[in-house]
Amino acid sequence: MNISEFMADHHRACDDEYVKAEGLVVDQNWVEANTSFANAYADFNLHFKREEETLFPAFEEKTGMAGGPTQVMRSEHVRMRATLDELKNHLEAQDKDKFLGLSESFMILVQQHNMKEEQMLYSMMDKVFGAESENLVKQLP
Amino acid sequence: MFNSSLSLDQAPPLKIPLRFFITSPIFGLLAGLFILGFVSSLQARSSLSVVVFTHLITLGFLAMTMLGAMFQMLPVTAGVTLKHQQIIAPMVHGLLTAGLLLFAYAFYNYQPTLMIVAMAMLLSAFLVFVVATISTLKNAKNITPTIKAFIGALASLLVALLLAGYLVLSHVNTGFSEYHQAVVYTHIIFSLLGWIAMLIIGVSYQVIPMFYVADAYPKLYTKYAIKVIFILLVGLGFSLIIDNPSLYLLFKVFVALVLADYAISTIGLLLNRKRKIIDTTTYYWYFAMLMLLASIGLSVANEWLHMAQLNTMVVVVFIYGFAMSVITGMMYKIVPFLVWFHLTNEGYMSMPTMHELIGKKLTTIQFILHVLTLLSLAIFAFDSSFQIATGVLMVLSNALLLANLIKGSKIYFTKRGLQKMSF
Ligand SMILES: [Fe+2]
Ligand SMILES: [Fe+2]
Repeated sequence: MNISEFMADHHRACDDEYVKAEGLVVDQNWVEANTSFANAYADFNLHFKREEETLFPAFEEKTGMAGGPTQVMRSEHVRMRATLDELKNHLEAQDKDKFLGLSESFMILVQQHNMKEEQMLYSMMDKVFGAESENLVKQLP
Repeated sequence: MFNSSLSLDQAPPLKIPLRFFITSPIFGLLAGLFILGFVSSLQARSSLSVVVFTHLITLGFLAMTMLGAMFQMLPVTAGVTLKHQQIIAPMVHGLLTAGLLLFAYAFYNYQPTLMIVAMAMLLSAFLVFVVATISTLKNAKNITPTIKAFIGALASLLVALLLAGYLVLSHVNTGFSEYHQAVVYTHIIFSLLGWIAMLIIGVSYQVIPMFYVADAYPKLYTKYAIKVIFILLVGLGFSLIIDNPSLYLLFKVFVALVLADYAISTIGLLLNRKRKIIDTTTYYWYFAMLMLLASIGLSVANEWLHMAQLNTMVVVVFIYGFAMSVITGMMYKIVPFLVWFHLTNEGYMSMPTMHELIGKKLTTIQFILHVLTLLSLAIFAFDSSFQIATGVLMVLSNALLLANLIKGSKIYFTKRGLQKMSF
């Protein structure tokens, strides 16, 4: 698997887990929602880590572009992390309306970010790394 | 290489798209008032009052919102910032608004010189936008299917505008050539099936996965649909000019199939979406797609039925049922999101969530009013006694849409009850 395929698959996996948690909040099944949300939370953070600690630095080193697209992506990660934490607070308070209202924004934020990566950044990476790209994927945590 | 203009601050300031979004329901409202005052029947389709009414909706509501959406989406999808957007956006908005008001006045009162001035203003509004877009897009290395659809839509718009220019000039010279009717139809075809449909398809590619966490449209479709539609539209125009009805019917059936495929795919993607949450915007999308299918079905059926009123109804269902519904649904998502996005960007905390900004009750009532307006308008195509009902419903539905959009966005300007995060 190259970077595009592997990372896009992981986007889908994060979505699935998160949407499951969201559905449980709709049903006010707080116990299962907590477990599911914790999984999604961990999954998103693993995903950001894979990008920030492995893929982005490798790309920056190879292309010499440190202030470019990867920087935009990092700053969007900051935003998504903050929103995830806020969601976690609403979940702990069992505030369904707040959770679902913020969830709306979070999902748009995530999908927009993922599209940019899938349509632009990942395909750039696969081009830049060529055959190396499969090795990079294997090194990911 | 990845273009270096992918700036941190890709999203344009809120004022840029919002100015367009808020103006659209005002034109919708004006269209309703215009029906009440001046449109006694839809049956004489070429009558000047029907022409004015149609353009209040297509340019005032549809094109207005679409331009705002493009100002928002182009930078985000292409990874570029529109150059001089702070000047371009108000200029395009001002020319379109003033040009359309003048257009309505000049056509209704049949003042040929003013018609030309209005036409020139509208033309320059779109040309300014097109030139600014092209000069920006040439820096974009990644041309996504959405951008391709935008380009197809803008190309169709230029065709439609050139034909409109020809029509206005023939009014001025009071000479209608033998091609006049063919040009009118080709203008309608490129406006509705080119500019409007292609734009909506391009927006859907982006928005259906983004807002509803649904799958992407099939690759085969996103790759070829726009090109195929454009070629078919040229074919339609050509068969009208050479006056060959069977060739026309052939092209028409193909366009119908490509558009029906879009509607069915969209319904399928929405039904299989991961997020099961239902809100007013999902009603709007389903309703829009059903209305697209209805207008396609009625239009094809009318090739055998040959009813003039049914043709009018097809156009009504396409414009008010399909296009206006998609666009309204999109605004209900995009406006609260942008307000939330810009406010958190500026460091505000304890924001009302997207749901709280407008409220489901108000958007649902507005949706019902919209459906009733369409219903009344469709009957009005056959029965002139529906003038008052149609006008009143249209005014109410657009007034509530306006109020909802203002309610959803005013907190950005008042900042009432917000706390700023201290670093
Ligand atoms: Fe990312
Ligand atoms: Fe990612």
